[in-house]
Amino acid sequence: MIFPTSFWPVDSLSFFMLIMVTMLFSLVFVYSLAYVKRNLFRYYFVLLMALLGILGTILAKDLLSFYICLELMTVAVYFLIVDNTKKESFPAGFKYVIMMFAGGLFILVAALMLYNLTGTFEFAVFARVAHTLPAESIKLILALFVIGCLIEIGAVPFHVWLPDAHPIAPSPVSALLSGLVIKIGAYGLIRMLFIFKLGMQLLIWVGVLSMIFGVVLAIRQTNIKRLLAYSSISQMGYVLLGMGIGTSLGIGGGLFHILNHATFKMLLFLCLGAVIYATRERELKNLGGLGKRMPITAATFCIGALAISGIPPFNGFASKALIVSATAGNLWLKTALIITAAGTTAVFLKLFLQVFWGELPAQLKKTNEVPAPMCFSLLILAGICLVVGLFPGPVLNKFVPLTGIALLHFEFWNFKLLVDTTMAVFLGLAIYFFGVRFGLLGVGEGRGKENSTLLSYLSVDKFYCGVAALIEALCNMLKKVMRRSLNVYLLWIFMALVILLFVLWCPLWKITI
Amino acid sequence: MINAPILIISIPLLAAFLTHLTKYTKVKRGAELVAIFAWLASAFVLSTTARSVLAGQVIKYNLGGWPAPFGISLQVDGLSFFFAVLVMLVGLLILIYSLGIYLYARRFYSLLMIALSSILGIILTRDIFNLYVFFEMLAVASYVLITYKHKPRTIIASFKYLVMTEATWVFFLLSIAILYSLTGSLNMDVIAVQIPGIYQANPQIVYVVFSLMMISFGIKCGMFPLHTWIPEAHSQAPTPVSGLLSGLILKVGLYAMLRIFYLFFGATLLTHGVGNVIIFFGIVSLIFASAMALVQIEIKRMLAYSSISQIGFILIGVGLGTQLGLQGALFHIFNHALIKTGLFFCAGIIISQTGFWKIHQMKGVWQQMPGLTITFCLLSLAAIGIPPLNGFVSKLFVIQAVLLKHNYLIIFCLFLGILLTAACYFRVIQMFFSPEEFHHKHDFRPNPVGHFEHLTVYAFAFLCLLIGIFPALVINLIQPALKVLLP
Amino acid sequence: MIGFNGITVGIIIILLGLFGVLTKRNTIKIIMCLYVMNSGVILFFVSLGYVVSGQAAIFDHGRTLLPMVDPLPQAVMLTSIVIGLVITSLALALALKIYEEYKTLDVKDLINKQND
Repeated sequence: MIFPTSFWPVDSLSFFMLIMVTMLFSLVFVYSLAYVKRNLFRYYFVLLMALLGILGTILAKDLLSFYICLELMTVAVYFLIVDNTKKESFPAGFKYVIMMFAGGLFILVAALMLYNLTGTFEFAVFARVAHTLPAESIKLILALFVIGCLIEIGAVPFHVWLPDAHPIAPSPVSALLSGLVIKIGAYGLIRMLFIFKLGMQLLIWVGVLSMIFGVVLAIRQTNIKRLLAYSSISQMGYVLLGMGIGTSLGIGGGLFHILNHATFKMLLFLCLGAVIYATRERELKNLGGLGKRMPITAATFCIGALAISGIPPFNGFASKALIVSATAGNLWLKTALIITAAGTTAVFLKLFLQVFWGELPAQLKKTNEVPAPMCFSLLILAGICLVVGLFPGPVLNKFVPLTGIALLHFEFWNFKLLVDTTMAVFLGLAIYFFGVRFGLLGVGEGRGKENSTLLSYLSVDKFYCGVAALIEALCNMLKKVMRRSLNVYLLWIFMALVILLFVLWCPLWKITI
Repeated sequence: MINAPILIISIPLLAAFLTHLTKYTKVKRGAELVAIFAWLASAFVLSTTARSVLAGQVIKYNLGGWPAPFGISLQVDGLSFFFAVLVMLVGLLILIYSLGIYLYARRFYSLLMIALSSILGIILTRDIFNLYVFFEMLAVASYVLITYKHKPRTIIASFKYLVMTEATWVFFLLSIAILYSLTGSLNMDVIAVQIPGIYQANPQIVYVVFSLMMISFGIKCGMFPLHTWIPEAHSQAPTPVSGLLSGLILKVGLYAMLRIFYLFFGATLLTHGVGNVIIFFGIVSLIFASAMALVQIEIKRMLAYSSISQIGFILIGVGLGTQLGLQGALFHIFNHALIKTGLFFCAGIIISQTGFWKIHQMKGVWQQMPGLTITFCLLSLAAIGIPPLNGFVSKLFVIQAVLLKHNYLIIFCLFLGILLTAACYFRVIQMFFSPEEFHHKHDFRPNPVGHFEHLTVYAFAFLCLLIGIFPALVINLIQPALKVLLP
Repeated sequence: MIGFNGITVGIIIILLGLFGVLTKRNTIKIIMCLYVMNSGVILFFVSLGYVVSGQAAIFDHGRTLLPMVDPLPQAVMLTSIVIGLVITSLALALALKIYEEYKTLDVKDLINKQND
């Protein structure tokens, strides 16, 4: 078995991803020029390796190359996350790398099983022979693959690494994580699901759960970057939902949201990175009133916040409009979408008001606007948000080979959508004001301690940490058991011999494994 | 060359005694020179056989001119050649590593050459009792090598290793006796021809022989309930010896297992499912040892436990007995020898620079030794099996072989094993990158670490990367070996 | 095969040695038991080649001596005896070193002397 690995821009999908990645990556580079001060060689080396991995996954012509580049990216991003080598960064990086390896293994096993069925790793051949393969094994393979990709995305039951890794990484890296790294899982998912057209129902469920969990968990956060991380989970829920619906509008919306989320989330992360760069503060309670000191950052953040809340004419509105229309009157899905949009509005209203509005704390009096390269990145990203929101046509053109022509005839400015949007915005405002009033948002005065327990259960962190602690306790127990005298060790050898003889004499071994 | 097999063994053995004679010459560091030149000469002799062996021929040499049923015969075939290349490569790097450490004198090189030549002897011999003798030679040399520094703990480690190994190898002698009484010969080929007939008549006695051999080779390669000597011996030995133990001595146990099991029981037991027993031992070793590696405090002990878990991985491939499984197992033997020896050497350099043995003390190694840290990261990523490093390719083969058997329990165990391995290596890596200021142990003067040590470690990392990118280099070596194992 | 011959006695001796190795805590006794096991195997192996009232297998100008004992086990066991001797002396040396260092011969005391 010799594995040829091959790379090529396969179709319009990878072409679209390619443009997005190169564009956004160069902005991260420009931003890093000003932001990163230490360990330059290590930082840029690993950053380029991450770029190599991401481009490789996108250009992969076969599943094995996809996996190889995915692992390359994982390792590179691990070293980016722990780049500032603080005490807290290592547990977060550890969580990230273990989860990603687990996801990668799922994908690898799925790839190998497909190889056993078809004799190749190539996507093109899968597409040709997809209908001839036995349905049962395809279901199993896809289940494994989807689990792997969901771990890479950080979708709901697997989202444990995301909120830890984002806050601790340097800000350009957080932007990279949220903007590009978690998109790779979605890209793989689209690739495979397009070929086999199975498992859509599951994606809808995971998508809805991610949307709601993410936004509910985001509301209470007080660490600004952690808040954005939870919001990323919620936004990836949109993508999954769109893909799960599977109609022309749904897939188009999902793909479009990949681009849009990448731009505005990157913009938000970079804005908050600028805030952190200027103030060295990450907690909401120490921030405030920065709008006057950092006008460019504040303005671009405002654009990003409007875009993520789905307010026209920014790009978030366009993709969310596609997804909402794709639900085609399914009331439950629509309710979930509106609640999420409202929650997102409330979250970003809170963030904007707490960081850029209000009174400037005394220790931040000397804050200045960030250097030019950082401002440049912010302005470009904000520009993209606006331009894509105003003229979605050229981008949607790219999706036509995948989704069909129906996408192009979609009317963005119809009345129903505007009503939905207004509803979501007003609901969001209501949530915000009630939240502040009753101290549910974790800011301002008031109570709200009791609901934090509930939220800590919603974030499955406790479960994963419990499993890890359990494993460690078991290992320690094992270690104690193994500390024996020489006689006991010798006894084990003898016992092994006796058991081996016993097993061979009563042919237990004939049970075929 | 028709007498290549005997030359390959005897040149290093001769050098082992010549190293002592360098006392009477004025040459500076004569012992090292003798050892390395003998090793290169032996490698050259091996390389003369390459063309015909890779073409599928067998080079046979009868000691003293006595033909097969009576005399001892040595033989270079595909499997031996594969292992001999591995031993030559890793042995050379071990020798170069030891060059840098002035502490090692004539006695060390003498013992090392005895150990290496007996490893070659194990690989080339076709006589089962001769195999036993070479194994004992190797064992004696390694007992002494472990205690080379005369520290009290090394002596305990060596004693434990000795008692456990010898108690088990009595059983191997017993199995030789049984085989001799059944077949009337000690030559492997002659025995192999007769075993199917014996199995037909009396399967029980074949089971007994199999179990006795399984235990004996198991203790050499360190599978689960017999592994207890490994952590102590590996962590206490001087660094080159740790590399020798983990890189070659464990692999020699696996070689004997592959050779003898597939030759003797290939047609009888292994085709009837005894491979399942080996797979079971492999799985238990994999999970257990990687779990133990996760909670070790000393870095060398961690590496030793990780060796056991990788051996479990290999045993799974061996037990599957399919083309692909064996290919994965052989490939992983090659990779693991490179990776683990390199890791032990990295750890050795770090220990001799800082004076620390424990993982949690090794903070800030990155600031002090960036090149070494990168090498350690590369090697440990290879051990986890991350592309494009060599560990990935063999991992891929083994997983693929298991998948072809449609056994999802084994897949799950492999999953768990790989993740635990990843966890234990990243535990070390994150400690290396930790921010705390690098400081030496109290009143500790770091040993000077020369270029030779660094060179070796970089060579290992380079080889891992090279083989990972061009796996065909090793696969071409494996193909003749597979033809020998599965005719 | 069952009877009071070398083979049976050899196996009994091996089991005795094994029992000793598993139960004795004194290092010297463990080494002795190892040697006892080794002797058992040697007896076992040599007995395999034994022929009742056989002669040594020395060929004298083409005259064959019948009955003749199998020479191979004897030759092989000679090597084995030497190996056993080497191992035993090395083990005793190590035990002596351990005693000098820790003033103990009990293997149970050695558990705490090693780190975990």
